[in-house]
Amino acid sequence: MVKFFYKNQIRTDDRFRFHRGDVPGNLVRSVEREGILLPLIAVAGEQPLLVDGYRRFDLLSEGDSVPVRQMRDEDAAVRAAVELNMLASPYSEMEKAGIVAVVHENAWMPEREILDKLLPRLGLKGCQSVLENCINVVDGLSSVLLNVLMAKKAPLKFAARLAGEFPEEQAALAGFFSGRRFSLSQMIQAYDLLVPIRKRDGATISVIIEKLKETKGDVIDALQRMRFPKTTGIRMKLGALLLPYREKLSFPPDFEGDAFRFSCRLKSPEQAVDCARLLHEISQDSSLFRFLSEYLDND
Amino acid sequence: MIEKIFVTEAAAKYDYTKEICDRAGLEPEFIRDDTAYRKEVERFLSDPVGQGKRHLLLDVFKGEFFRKCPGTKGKVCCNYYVIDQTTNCPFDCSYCFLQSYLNLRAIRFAVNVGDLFRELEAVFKKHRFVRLGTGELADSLALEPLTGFGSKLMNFAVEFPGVVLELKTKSAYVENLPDVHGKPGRGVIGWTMEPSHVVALEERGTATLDERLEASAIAAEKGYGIAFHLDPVVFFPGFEAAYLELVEEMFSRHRTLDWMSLAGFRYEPSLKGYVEERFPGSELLDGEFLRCSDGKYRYLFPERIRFFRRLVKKVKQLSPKTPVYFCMEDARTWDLVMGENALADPVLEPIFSREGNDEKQGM
Ligand code: SF4
Repeated sequence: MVKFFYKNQIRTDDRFRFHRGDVPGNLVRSVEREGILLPLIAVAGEQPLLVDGYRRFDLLSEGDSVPVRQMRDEDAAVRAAVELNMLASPYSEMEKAGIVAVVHENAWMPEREILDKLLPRLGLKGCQSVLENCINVVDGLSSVLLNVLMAKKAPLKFAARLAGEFPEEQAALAGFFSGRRFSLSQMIQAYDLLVPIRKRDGATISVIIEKLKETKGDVIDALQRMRFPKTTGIRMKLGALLLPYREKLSFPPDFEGDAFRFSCRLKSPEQAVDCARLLHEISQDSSLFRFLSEYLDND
Repeated sequence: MIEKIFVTEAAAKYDYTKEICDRAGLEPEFIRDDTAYRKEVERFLSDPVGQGKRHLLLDVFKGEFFRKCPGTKGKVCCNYYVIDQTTNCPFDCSYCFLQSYLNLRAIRFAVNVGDLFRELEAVFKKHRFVRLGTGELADSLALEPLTGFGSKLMNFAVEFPGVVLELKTKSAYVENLPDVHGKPGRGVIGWTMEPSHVVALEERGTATLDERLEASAIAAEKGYGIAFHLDPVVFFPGFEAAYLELVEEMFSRHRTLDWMSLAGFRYEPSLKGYVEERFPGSELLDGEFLRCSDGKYRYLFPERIRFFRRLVKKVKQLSPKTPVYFCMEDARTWDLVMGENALADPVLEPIFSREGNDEKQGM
């Protein structure tokens, strides 16, 4: 049943604030211009308890009147909210985790029903490990890092990994990700590089991040160099050696198989002569061959 | 190790099912089939990979058990045939590809071994030489105390001339294997060997290095050929000395092996998440890896070559007659480590020259 209420008649409860992060601009504009069109969802009562529509609700002025769809109890209201939101705008995985965790914490559904119905309804795999990831993400992430990840629609698995970090490390990561304005894939890449460096060097993430401040250029490249010093060394050496033969002589990117590859496109007989000269020059290049024998320990 | 046994409707009528349950001393839970296991059991596990390894699902396998080892694109193939009778394993190695490969988390054990033996008999009669094993999707002897399957299979296979059956394991369960002296076929027990450091960090639940070496001596006394697999070779601080020492230990027990394989640690991208999540103390991913043309990550090519050279040199010094081969390496690695034409070396004949599909003339 839909009824109109004034904003100050409606009760709120933070347990139901599933969405975090910034409110999208188009939503702000729509509420300013049209008010609330789609009814909020609440638990019925003289002062209904708001379950769905917190972001729109927050944009209202005190005296505004709003349509409210009233549901029998919290359980029914949550189900209606999930159904509605899945249709209107699909949740991100982090938002889904928030819903699952809150449903679990408040025992609105038995665990079995969460696995059988809620998770699949949200498009998640209906298994225990996913449920645990949802709970861990909500319980284990600091609010700052949670907001950073929410804003980038981070996948559940990545968020669950970060939720296992100590609070100081989470704080360092949150600052690093937002300070560098990383995209989601850059965050994942950076974290994948930071973890083994931390382990190898017995450092903390904040110490590594501090060191990065001294480096110039792309920060992911700098992390790559820190993580893979040998590979970086070989690549740099090669880069210098191959410079005179740019675009003609290359090295397989994985260093596997054949050593060098020579390629050229012949358009005229004169070019063939040029290429032959170049090949001869390469064959005389002692630095290349010194590198090869060192590289492969070739005796 | 095994905490629960599940029996499918199809497996319930087999005597072998009862034999296994009795040996385990566990009351089985009856379920319709593997799908029911997935729906009713597996999805309620918080660590499906780890907990699934403690569940034994006795089932009936309807397809063909025997197939050629798939090898890897672009890598030299060693003509090995595999029997898929068991899938998954109670041991828990950080590097195990089964973690990301299998879609059923319990250990599935096919009790219709009569069907397997009929299939094998037809194959053995048709081929002059077959080298085969059961250790592709499982450890061949990890469940031996419960199932005795390794012994049953060995008893059967060694009666056929030209058959070389390898049971590959990280266990020490060889006590109950049959004596195979004087049999027309050849029984080989193969152990994956790793320095103790790797065993302790990366191979949960397996026998220690000493136990494996001890078991290999017992197996040799029973007439088995011995194979050792340095697979995967894991790079960690001090790995070179550790592996060279390991090789010395191996050859102090056995003058010659039936064969020995080498392979650097490599992994599919999908394995990484499992290692990170399930093995927080693992050193497996600490090295420097590069993505290779087959999509797998491997240690840097020059580092592998350099180390394999040292290793092969050591083996050749200690045991010139032991055939050493690479598993999952390309022809260039062979050339660089073993020298050109290494594949034509007569020492390698038992591995490469006699193919399983080399059918008998006139049959
Ligand atoms: S023993 Fe083999 S099959 Fe078993 S977990 Fe280890 S690698 Fe996997």
